[in-house]
Amino acid sequence: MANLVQHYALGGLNIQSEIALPALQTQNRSHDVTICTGIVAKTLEDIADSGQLFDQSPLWEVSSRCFLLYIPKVARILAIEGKEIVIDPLSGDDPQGMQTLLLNTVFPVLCLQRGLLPLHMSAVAVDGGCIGFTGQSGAGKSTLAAYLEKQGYSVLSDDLCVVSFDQQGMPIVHPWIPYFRLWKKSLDAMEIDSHDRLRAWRKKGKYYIPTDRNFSTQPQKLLNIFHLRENRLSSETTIEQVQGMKSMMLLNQHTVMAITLSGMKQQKEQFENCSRLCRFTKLFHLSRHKKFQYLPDTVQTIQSFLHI
Amino acid sequence: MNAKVYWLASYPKSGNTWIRIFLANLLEEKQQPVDINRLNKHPAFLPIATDRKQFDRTVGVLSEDLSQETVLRLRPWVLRRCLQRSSAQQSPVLFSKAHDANITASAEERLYPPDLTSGVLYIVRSPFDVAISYSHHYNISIDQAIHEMADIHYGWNRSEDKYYLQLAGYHSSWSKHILSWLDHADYRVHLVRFEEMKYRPRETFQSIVRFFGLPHNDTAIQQAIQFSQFKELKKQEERVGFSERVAKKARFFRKGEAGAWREILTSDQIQQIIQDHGPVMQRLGYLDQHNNPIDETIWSQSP
Repeated sequence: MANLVQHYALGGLNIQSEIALPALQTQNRSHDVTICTGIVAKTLEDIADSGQLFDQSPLWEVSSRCFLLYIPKVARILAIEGKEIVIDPLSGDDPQGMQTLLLNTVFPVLCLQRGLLPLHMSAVAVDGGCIGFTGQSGAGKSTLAAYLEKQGYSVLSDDLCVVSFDQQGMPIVHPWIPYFRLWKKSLDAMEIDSHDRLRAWRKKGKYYIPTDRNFSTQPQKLLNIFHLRENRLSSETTIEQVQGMKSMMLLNQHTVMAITLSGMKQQKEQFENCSRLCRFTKLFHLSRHKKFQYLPDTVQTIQSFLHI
Repeated sequence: MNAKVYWLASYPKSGNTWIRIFLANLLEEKQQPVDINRLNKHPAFLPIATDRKQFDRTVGVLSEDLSQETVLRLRPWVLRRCLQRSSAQQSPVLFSKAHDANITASAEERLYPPDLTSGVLYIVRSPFDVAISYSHHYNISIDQAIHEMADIHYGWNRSEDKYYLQLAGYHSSWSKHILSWLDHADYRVHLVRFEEMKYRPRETFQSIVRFFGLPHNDTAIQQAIQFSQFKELKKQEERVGFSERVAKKARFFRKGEAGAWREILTSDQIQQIIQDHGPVMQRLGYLDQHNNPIDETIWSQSP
């Protein structure tokens, strides 16, 4: 890993980092967050001023100020008050592992610490803003975003979106990393070559594919969210609006690392963020057959529904 | 105090879904059969022990970012956490399907912790019939099915080349799977055979209901038995499909027979299964003392 300080943009935040993060876009603005390497204590109780420990699991501890992640043989990573991340690389030689944990786990917690809303969501720019696709891992968020990119749409993210709110309370989605992470099955179906591509950490059959041709570097208003549901019994795509408290529940379910909210005493901020989002953004259930042969029909249904 | 779970444990293709459909009908107490695609809607049913969504939501860190060893080690913690936070008040009993062998998750803990277990309903089926059902379900040859059933290291979803909706499973062989559950002193286990459910349903399902401590109203039990009969399930699947079906072409509710193996398995296949699982088959009454397969109709007689 390089020890030179680098500057990146991620999720609307400017990062100054001691470690190289090749997946991220570089930029030259003053930083909001610093990332450095160092020794990280085994428990928050051993860290001065870490705040009262409120919740823990075998892999992490969380207090009002700090989040400590421990992945055996890979790293111990500490996020402090939404401003600083300290990485203790245990194995010393797994930069891809550390980057993955940073992006998928620690950075989203840092966003929660800052009062932002990180969602398991892919997002694609359309006229006037963007639309998002939520769903659990394997739901097809990345495949759908990649397919839309091939149709000429710009992509803000294939998997994780950081949402902030402007002065009017409008939810704004910020660009994530300019890559799709796709399983070989999806790559083959879309005739994207996986030869020589970087494989995802721990998953030999998953690859990083750059989006840079159609990567949207501008934040966009979040107009609609489609929650992806699999319908294994029908080839028809249906869209049904989500109403009332079910919208809030859905957003909470798809908030990355929502499990840490009570430990961070951020439940009120989370509730307010979800309420604000629901005021401006319409949420829908999108039920469709996941087989790739039905993807064009699914996209056409979305396009007709939104007149895009 | 934590809520506790009744494990509906079985080697795959042994009748676990039949039990769940019976229980769903018994608990719902409706005048028509429960929709087979809405089995888990009753609050008594927890997700299957290998449910990835539950794991990811409870741990926060994605299971696909963790080694299989770490995921295995965390599974008891996930269960404990879910039970602590579950609305156990919604149901006096909780059930969860388990296809893993009863193994240790770590040096400290079993994968299915005894202190979180109310009891184990263990469902077993003749390996002769399991081999056929298994081969259809996974769209593999019978020989391949027999081979996997004999593999003590076998488990689902272990490859890193593709995405699975469920976490890695740890089945072991058909024999080791059975022994891991029956011979562990820390669990209260009730053993039922697929063949007993088929040939002596009233007595067998009543014993299941008593084991769970559920009200054993004979009329309700009879209705649940009727609503979970194979021909009803097959009819539903033909009409609307079944979301738990795996293989591209096979039906899930295919034949539901006991003894069909006699017309399908070759003598080499029969001998292979006996060679692989003879001692356990004898213990469970599928072979006589001379290692000859018993006639399935024996299960219609009360013990």
